[in-house]
Amino acid sequence: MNEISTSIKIKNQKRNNFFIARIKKYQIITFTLGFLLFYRFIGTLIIYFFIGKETFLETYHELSVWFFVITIPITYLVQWLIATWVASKFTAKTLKEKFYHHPIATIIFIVLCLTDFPYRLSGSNLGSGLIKFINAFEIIIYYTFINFLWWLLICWMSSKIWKRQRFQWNLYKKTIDTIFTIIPPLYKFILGLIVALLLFIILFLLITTIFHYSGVGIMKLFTY
Amino acid sequence: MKTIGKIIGFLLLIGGGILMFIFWLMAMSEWLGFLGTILAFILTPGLVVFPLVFWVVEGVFPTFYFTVWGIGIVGAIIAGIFSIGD
Repeated sequence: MNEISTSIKIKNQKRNNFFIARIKKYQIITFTLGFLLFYRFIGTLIIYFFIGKETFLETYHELSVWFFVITIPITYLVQWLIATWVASKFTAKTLKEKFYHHPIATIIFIVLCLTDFPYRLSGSNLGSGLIKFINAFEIIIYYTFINFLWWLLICWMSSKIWKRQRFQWNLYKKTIDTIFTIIPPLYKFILGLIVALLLFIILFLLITTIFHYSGVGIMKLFTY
Repeated sequence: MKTIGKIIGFLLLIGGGILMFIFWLMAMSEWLGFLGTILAFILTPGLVVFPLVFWVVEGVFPTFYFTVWGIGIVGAIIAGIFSIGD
């Protein structure tokens, strides 16, 4: 009996270690998906409790709120597992090497993405204000990730057909180096900006609700 | 993660600071006109004294000013937490 409970404990500890190790290793991915989970989950609950149950049912095709309460966390957990699994297959160096080795596939893919992306965005109902910004950010993340997987497939097929690299351009290499230098801090800044704006609005609403602020101080300055 | 934490903290702090300054600038320009606008840039708001003056002059407690100040403090705390060990 003791042996069984010990083995269960060890298994649980291993599972915990797996999640903690992944969270620690892929902090940006975890933070991004954690933020999007928070946004979707809280957003759904706000629509249900504050905007109205009828609007909620109309918007989400008569699906119960419990369906979303269960499926949203599961969906984001699966997404996190997939994203971290893909990330675990590469380091920055190996990924850069892959970009160096497949210049034509990369250029074609980037051009296709850039031309197709505006249509994808215009086809989605983004809302307005900060919500529009966050929804567009989420779509960009998913679109880029899906295209990245397609690009990997094309690279894999290309490496099976052409065994050695035929083209090598210095300008292309320099561009890839620049992109690899610019993208990480730019991504962190954009994500930080979105989170900061949302946090600002939440804190502002929280404080004004607690103190029953009606905006009279500001109105005084505007109505002179 | 530390970088994002610091970005969030500093953006809240800077955002709060800018809004506080706009509030100060608008109040000064309303009270003293063009001279007030120039003085707003030269003088610092006097974090605690200015809201009291506003309260006395306008007869309205400047809740907005203290709200954005509070948000700025939250930002400073977040930035401070993520800067530990740097």
